[in-house]
Amino acid sequence: MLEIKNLKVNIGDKPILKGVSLKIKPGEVHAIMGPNGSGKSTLSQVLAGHSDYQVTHGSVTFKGHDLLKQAPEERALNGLFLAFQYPVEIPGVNNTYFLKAALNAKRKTQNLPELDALDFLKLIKEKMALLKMDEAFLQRSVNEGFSGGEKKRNEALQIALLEPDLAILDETDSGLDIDALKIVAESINALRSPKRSFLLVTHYQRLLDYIIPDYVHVLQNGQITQSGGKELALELEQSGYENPR
Amino acid sequence: MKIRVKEGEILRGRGEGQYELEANSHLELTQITFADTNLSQTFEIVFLGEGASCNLSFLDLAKNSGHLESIIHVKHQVPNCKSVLVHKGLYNDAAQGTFKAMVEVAPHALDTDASQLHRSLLLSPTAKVHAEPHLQIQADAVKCKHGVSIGQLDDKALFYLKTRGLDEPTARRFLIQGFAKEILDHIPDVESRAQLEQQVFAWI
Ligand SMILES: Nc1ncnc2c1ncn2[C@@H]1O[C@H](COP(=O)(O)OP(=O)(O)OP(=O)(O)O)[C@@H](O)[C@H]1O
Ligand SMILES: [Mg+2]
Repeated sequence: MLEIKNLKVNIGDKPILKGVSLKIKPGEVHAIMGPNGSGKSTLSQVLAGHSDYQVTHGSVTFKGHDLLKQAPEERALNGLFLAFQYPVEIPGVNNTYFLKAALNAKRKTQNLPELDALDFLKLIKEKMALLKMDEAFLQRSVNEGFSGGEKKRNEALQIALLEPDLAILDETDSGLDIDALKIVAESINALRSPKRSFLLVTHYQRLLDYIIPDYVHVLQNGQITQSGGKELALELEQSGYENPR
Repeated sequence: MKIRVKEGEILRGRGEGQYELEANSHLELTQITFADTNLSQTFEIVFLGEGASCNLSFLDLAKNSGHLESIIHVKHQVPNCKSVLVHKGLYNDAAQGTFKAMVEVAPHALDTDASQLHRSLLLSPTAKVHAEPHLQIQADAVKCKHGVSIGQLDDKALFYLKTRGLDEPTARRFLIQGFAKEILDHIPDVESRAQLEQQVFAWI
């Protein structure tokens, strides 16, 4: 699904990622943990195609294509999704209108007919019910004035709607209350399949109690310093990042 | 052209002119102006009677090498009136925008509530805007505020939209649409609003 080889990334002159390699096979769930500022969001944003970051070395292959050559929208249409750590507020742009455009852009590349307003509404309401989201969010502007947790839930809604092949969740759990965390985790688990992969960036073991990962990695100072199974997250919870095994 | 809004009446207006507001009247002025050559327009709002109010909503769109100038003069001559001015501009290509607003509060116009806000988006590196908000307050016990913001399309928002599969032109259109919406929403008639929306996007 995704193969990152020795990826080095700068912001300006500052090296942030210093040689990251990671392979995610179809159906796998990987978690990345690590201290603040270690480069987790940088990795997520680079994979999504943000142009502020300069890739100085390495390669990324996604579903057999050179990911780094693709524009952000091509990556998305090809099945990559990033749930932002800080979802962006877009004043004046209606959430329904936005979600419908995103879904139809995707359907178009899949040679599926676009959904009309009625069919779309039916579908999005099902997905919202899954996430126990109030339908009032359909009338609002994208993320504008949403609480921290509401923004995260709106990201999860987009995953449920767009059904990407690889979803990267950059701290989607941060800011969710206890009940919301369970609901979002269930929506993710419902999408787990042998064909779909997830990369969960998180600070908390709690998320991994609900979405059980196949692999856990620790990113420290721009490098993956430890990798292991789900038990690694538990160990980290005990020992912190400062005292490696 | 002089337009008188009679005591207690509500007027929905558009177009250049001098609007005179009698006591307890209300003016809803929504002006959307397209320019691809030079154009200057002037609006004057004069409060003649107490308890009157106005909402002035402007959307200026200029492209090519057009220079679009909007001059808006609000005169609070009597107490207890309220004016809300929102001016937005979208400037593309080598177009220029000028926004000159003067809100005057006369010495005896107590309890005036006046605000003016200008926001513009420069859609190309060669577009320019010149914003001059003026407030001249000679009375006490008034509430006045003004603000100006000039910028480009929000990069973060553009990127967010693209990561959802929308291409550059669509993402830009969404943001422009979002920017214009605040003004277009002042048009009560659904059909003419939709029509203007279309015009705005076709124009950009
Ligand atoms: N635009 C930028 N300009 C300069 N430095 C930046 C910029 N963006 C990120 N950085 C730096 O890059 C480093 C990695 O940041 P990143 O956001 O990837 O960390 P993170 O692991 O996601 O942290 P957190 O757990 O707090 O979310 C940090 O030191 C940060 O200050
Ligand atoms: Mg981060």
